[in-house]
Formats: sequence, C-alpha cells, structure tokens
Amino acid sequence: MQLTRRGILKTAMAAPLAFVPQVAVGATWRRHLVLVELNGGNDGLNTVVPYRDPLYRQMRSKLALPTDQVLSLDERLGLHPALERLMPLWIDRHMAIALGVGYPQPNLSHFRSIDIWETATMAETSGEDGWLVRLFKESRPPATLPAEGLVLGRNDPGPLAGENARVIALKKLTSLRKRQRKNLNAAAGSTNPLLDHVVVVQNRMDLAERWLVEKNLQDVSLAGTFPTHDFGRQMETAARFIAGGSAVPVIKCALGGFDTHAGQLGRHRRLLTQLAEGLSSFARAMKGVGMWDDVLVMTYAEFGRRPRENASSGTDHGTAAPQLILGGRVRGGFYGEQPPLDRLEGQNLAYRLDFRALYATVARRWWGLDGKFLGPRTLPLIT
Amino acid sequence: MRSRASYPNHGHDRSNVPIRIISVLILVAWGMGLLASMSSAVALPIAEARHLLARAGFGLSRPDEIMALAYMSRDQAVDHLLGGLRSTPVTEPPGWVGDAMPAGKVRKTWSKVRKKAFNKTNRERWRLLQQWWAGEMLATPSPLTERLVLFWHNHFTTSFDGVKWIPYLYAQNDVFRRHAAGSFRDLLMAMVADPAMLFYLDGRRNRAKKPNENFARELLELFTMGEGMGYTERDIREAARALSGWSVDPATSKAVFRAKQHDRGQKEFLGQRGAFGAPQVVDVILDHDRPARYMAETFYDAFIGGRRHAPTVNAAAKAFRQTDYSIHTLLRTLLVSPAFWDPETYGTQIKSPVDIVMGLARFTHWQGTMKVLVNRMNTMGQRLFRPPNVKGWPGGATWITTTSLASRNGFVYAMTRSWAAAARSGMGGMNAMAANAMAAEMRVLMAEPHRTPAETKAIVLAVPPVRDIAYEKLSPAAYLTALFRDPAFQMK
Repeated sequence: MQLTRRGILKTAMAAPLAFVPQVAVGATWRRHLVLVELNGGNDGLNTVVPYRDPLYRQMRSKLALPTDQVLSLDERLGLHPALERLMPLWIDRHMAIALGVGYPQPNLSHFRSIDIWETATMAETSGEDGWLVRLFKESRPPATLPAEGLVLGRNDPGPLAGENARVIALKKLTSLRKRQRKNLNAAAGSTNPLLDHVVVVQNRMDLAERWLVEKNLQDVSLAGTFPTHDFGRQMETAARFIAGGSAVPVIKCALGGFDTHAGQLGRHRRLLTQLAEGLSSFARAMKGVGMWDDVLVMTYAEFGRRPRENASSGTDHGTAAPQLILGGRVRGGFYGEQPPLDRLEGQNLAYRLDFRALYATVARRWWGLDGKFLGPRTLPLIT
Repeated sequence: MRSRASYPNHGHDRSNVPIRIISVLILVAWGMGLLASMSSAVALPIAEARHLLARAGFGLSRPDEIMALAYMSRDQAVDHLLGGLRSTPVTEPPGWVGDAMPAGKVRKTWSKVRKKAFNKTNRERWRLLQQWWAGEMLATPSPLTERLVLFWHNHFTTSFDGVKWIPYLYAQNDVFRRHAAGSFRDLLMAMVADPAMLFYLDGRRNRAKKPNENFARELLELFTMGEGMGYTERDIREAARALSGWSVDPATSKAVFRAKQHDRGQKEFLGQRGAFGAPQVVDVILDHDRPARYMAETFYDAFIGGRRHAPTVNAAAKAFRQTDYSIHTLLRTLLVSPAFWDPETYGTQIKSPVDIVMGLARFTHWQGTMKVLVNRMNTMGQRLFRPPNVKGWPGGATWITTTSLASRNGFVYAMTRSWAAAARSGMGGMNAMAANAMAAEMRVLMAEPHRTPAETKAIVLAVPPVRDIAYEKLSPAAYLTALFRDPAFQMK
C-alpha cells in the first residue's frame, strides 16, 4: 500500500503522454455504470412496501403507508407513492428491483457497513481498496480515458477509493477552472504519501481541465429539464458527461439524509421524490441521445432500517433492503425475494440476496470482466 | 492570605531584608538560567517552532509567533502554549445565543409561513455562528484553544442537520472550550446531557418504553471505544436503557432528566451489573481499558499523524488513565514526545480547510468580513457546525479532491495576488486592506537582513517545495508568492 513518489509520478506522467481526446475506446468501456448512494441507510420497507402484510401495519402503526396510496407492483409489493415517476420505467421493464439485498452477519455501524458494501470484503481491515478499484486491477480502463470514475455530490469516492485510481470529484461543471498548466515534476524524494496524493490530484486536475476544455460539456443539449435540487444537478452532470461522449466508466452520485431515526415520514417522502425526479430525468435525457442502452444505474446503501418503528416516529439501523437497477438493457422485474416479517433475525430482516451477486453481474454481464472475488453468483438482469 | 494592599509596606520593613536578598538571588539565578536557555543548545530552531505552532494551531504562523518561541526549549514551548489555553472566548457571541427554543407544542400551532420564517432564521443564525467562530479563531491569542475546540467539535460531532436551534450548537461549543484540556470524564458527562447532542443523536427521544439507541451506539463506537472494540450490540442496547430519560427543557434550554421516562431496571453493561443511569454509564466506560487507548490514538492521529509509534501511544494512554483522564496530560505527553519532534513528521498532514483559510487570515491580519472566510471554508468542504455525518470530517487524503484543491488553490492565489500587486505598487488590488497587511508581513519576512531565503522557507513551508523555486531568479515578493502557491503549502 505504501506509495512511492516515483511510482506515482510514473502513472501520473504516463496519462498525459498517452492523452488523445478523440481516440476510439473498446466497446466495453463505452458502457457506463452510474451508482447512486442512498447515504444514511434507506428504509426498504417503506420504499418497496409489503402493503398486504398485516405484520407490516402492526410493526408500523405510525409509519405504515396507506394501502390506497402505494403504487402496486404485484399482489404483495408496491412502491412508495413518491416514486411514481419511476413507474413508466417499471412498466417498460427497464427497472429491476433486487429484494432483500444484504450480507451475512450484518454490521449496524454506518461506517463499517458502508465499508463492507464499498469494498465488497468482510475482512476486518481498514484501508481496503474499493470494489471497482479491485475489479479494474484485472483489466484497467485505458489511460486514454480522462478518468476511471467521476464522483458527484458527496466528495467520497467510496467504491472508487484506492491506490492509483483515477477519479475526478466534481461539484459543478464550472468548478474546474479552464486553464492550461504544466504537469508537476518530481520533488525531493522523501516518502510522504499525503504530499504525493496532493501532487497526483493536482496533475489529474490539470489533465481533466485540458480534456474538458476540448469537450465543452456545458454546451451538450439534453432532452427535458432536470430538477434543481442537488441530486438533480448531479444526475444532470452525469448525463452531460455521458452524452458528451466522455466514456468515463463509472459515475457515482449520492443522495444523503436517509438516517431517519426520527420523524421519518415527511423526510423520507422528500428524499424519494428527489430520487425519482433525478432518475427519471436522467433516463429521459439518455433516451433522447440514444444512449439509454449504454447506461446501468444502480442504487446502494449501507443498510436498510429496522422493521419495527421506534418511539420517535423513525426507524433505527437495520439490515437487508431492496435496491433499484435501471437501464435500457435491464430486464425488469423482481430479483431475490422479500424477507418475511415473521422470520426476523434479532429484530431485523434476514437478507435473501448477497449484494456481491449484483456487483458480479455488473462485472461479468455488463463489462465482460471476471471479478472472481465477487463470488460465483450472477443474476440474469441484463439482456 | 495577604491582601495586595499590604505590599507597599514591605520595602520599609527591615525584618524582611533577608527575604529581599534571597529574592534578588533567585532573580539573578533565574536570569542566568534564561541566558543559558538563550544559548543555541536550548533555543528552538525556526523549523521546530513552526512545526509546533502549525500542529497546535492553524497550520501557518506569523514570524512574530515563531520568534516568540525562539529562546525556549521544546518542553518550555509546549508548556507556554498549554499555559496560554483559554476557557472562554475573547469575542462576544451573537446576542441570541441565550434565546430559548419555542416549545414543540407552540411550534405545532404555527402557520406554514411562520414555520418557514423560523427555518430561515435558523439557517441565517447557523451562518452567523460560523462567522462568529471564524472571528474567534482570528482574534484569539491562543490558537491551540480553538484547535482543541475544533478537535472536540469533530469528536463529539453535532450538526445543524439535526440541531435546528443554533443556540444549542453555541452552548456545546462553549462547553468544548471550557473543558478543552480539562477532564475527559467531565467532558463526557457534559456530552451525555448536552442539548445539541440530545437533539443530534436522538437522546431526547430515548425513553424507557421504546429506547432509541442512536446515541448509545455512537457513544461507544465513536466517542470512547472505537468501532467493535470491547463492546457488543447488547452493550449498546443496555447503555441505551441506562441513558433513557434525558431530554431538553425548552424553558431553560438545559438538559433535563425525566425520571418517569427512565428505565430503572437492572442492566448488564460492559461486564458490570446495576440499575445504571447516565453517570454510571460514563463511570463504567471509563473503568474499561479501551477509552484511554482510543483517545490516545485519536489525539495521536490529530496532532502527530502518520503511522502510530506504539510506545508513544502507550505512554500517552497510560498517563491519561493515571491522571483520571486529564486531557492536558494526554496532549502534553504527545507534544513533548520524540515522535512529535521527529523531522520526518513535518509536513505529513494535509491542512484542513480551517487551516488553509484561518492560517492565511491570521498571517495577513485579515481585515475583511468573516463571511468571505466562512464561504471559502464551506466550499473547500469544511462547513463548521455542519460536518458531513456523526463521524465528523474524515480529513487526511479526503481533504484533497479535484474540486477542493481547485478551491484551495483559488484562495491562496487570491490572497497572494493582492499581495504581489501590493508589493509592486504599494496599493492593493481586490482587497487593499489584506494586501497592505500582507505586504507588511512580507516586509518583516524579507527586510530582516539576518534572515536567509532558507529561513523564510522554513517559516512558510513544512516540507521543501514541489516545484523548482529558484530564489536567485526571483524578486523577494515573487519568491514568497511561489512558496505560498506550491503544493507543499497544502501540508502541515
């Protein structure tokens, strides 16, 4: 893990030398994965609702959603009404819902659990590389791409964190100043990994700036308008990057505030509304430029929440939860199964689908990579 | 006890002559000691003084602050900074910090318009409180005090996201200053019954009938033990039961214990049994071996950083425990340790946005508004009183992303642009006041004939610059500007 300045400079210098903006890249890397982190732990039972289950109403005297408001998906499950904008995608079978997603021996700490999700490793070691960084070690996206990942919203690279990962974090398209700068040269050779990090980011920034100046992403025209909230802006930036032909393999967005220990109903409704607005605008824009088949959107969160509501009209940290997968090549429908409320483990839902099966599906069926560390199981959710 | 009024008579009292002679002798001895300490053997080199002030302050210090430590030993310099700690702010807080929060029952009767106005006021007050703290960081004669307050803010995190009533955030900040280097036991007890904390981690909703374990979990995971270290999920539930019943009384703005909401049953917590309440939770935790080590590690990471030197952590943990959790002792043990003074430690930490902004503001005797400074810190990713989550700002490498580095560079460029302009013309560009002050500081740095370019570099930077900066080819102003704009300036 120890970074040497020389090693870093080698990779940092290699990129600009190979830098040719319009070069064609292999078909695999034309496919984008857009990750949406539901930061704080989304309440799965009020997202995909077991609205016919009497136990659901019994455990949630204050938080249960009225049956007539739930958007029915089948005879057992329905969507939160705030997700109405996603219904057309479900009907077109461009949205899959993975049910009961989790992992064995769940950890209820925000920080430990998100580590597990983002590194796809259970080992009690910190500083493990993100799962995408580990996957890309097998086959590296070409250095001709401006970056391997783009991080929007929360400045946390999450699954893209790791040694030598080429990641750009961006608040707004305009936040990169458009000026040309020379690459930094070697400094006195002490081992100072954090200073090396500063130098690498500075070089990456200069490179990305040069690239963005070429692309003029702000002038890319998109179908329809995007919501003006932070998450909407993130999805808009993601759409511009993809529509502008950036070929960045991974774009990570984040919607925060799901840690609803108290007064959940209103807050959760607002968050899910923002989620649906952002995702549906993104889908429309991608269809408009004929690239809906080239994107795969996937949500994730550290955990779901406890089935039984707490005394504060909220929910405490839980375990398994549903996740959404959207895209033109997605085979819509349910995957996994809804964890039954009458067979809790402790006070929490027992997971039915290991999240690593979703990652393995992305690795093998989306990018054609192996990703052995993600386990043998994949899901047939990509056509 | 003698009163001050009796002092004037002493000079005329012959019986006191021997005492006077002894005093003179002591004075002479002290003077000789001082002379001895001025010899190079004990004097603090610029690089060492810069290092201490950077880590115990805001990453950058003025030449006068560095020179003030010149004739001290390392231990003396550390004690000098610890001796200067304050328990109260030097600036006046906003007038509304004592306001009582409108009770929930009252707020429920409000119209939509009224509620909107209330939210708007709170948002505005959050910004004003940020500005007040920035002003305190700028004005304080003891940067270490505010560095510690920031440390505690990042440890016992609370946020405007969760604590809408800003006076509670101020009150907690005040508690941090009061206990900054005092007793960790007292501070921990204060946090268990802190209004901002009771709101932020839902402690006020934790009742006997249906416990809310949010605070109990973080109390163990983040505040005292470390994730998964020495406690179980069951300990969290038991602690939540013991902590039930605490709430905030809107009438007094103070924490209040409501016995009816408290679970009075037996608990089994960290291997001890009893009908525990909040004070016993603190006692049982501090009976455990983990907290001393966990806090020693946390302080080590904050003030020394890099790979932890195990003997130093052990010594700090031991001293902390032996003094019944004296923060002063913990901090002093680390600051006088060889690990702290090892030149390999210089420049191995990335400055926080507070360091970048307040360091430069203090260096330049900033005369502009606090709003400008706070906006800069916010865009660099450190919104005071609004950390990203209960774990606080992760810091380290995460401070530097393409977005945040662009914003940091922009600030340093703006500050030194006016400086360079002032050096050329004697007039400021965008910010005349700052430019003039900066020019004055630059004159101090440049005009002293005995100071070499290498010494100037030692004042400004913790590590050698990354870019080639050739003093011979540059004017003094251009040389200094280049030092500030180098990536090495991001380090402390």
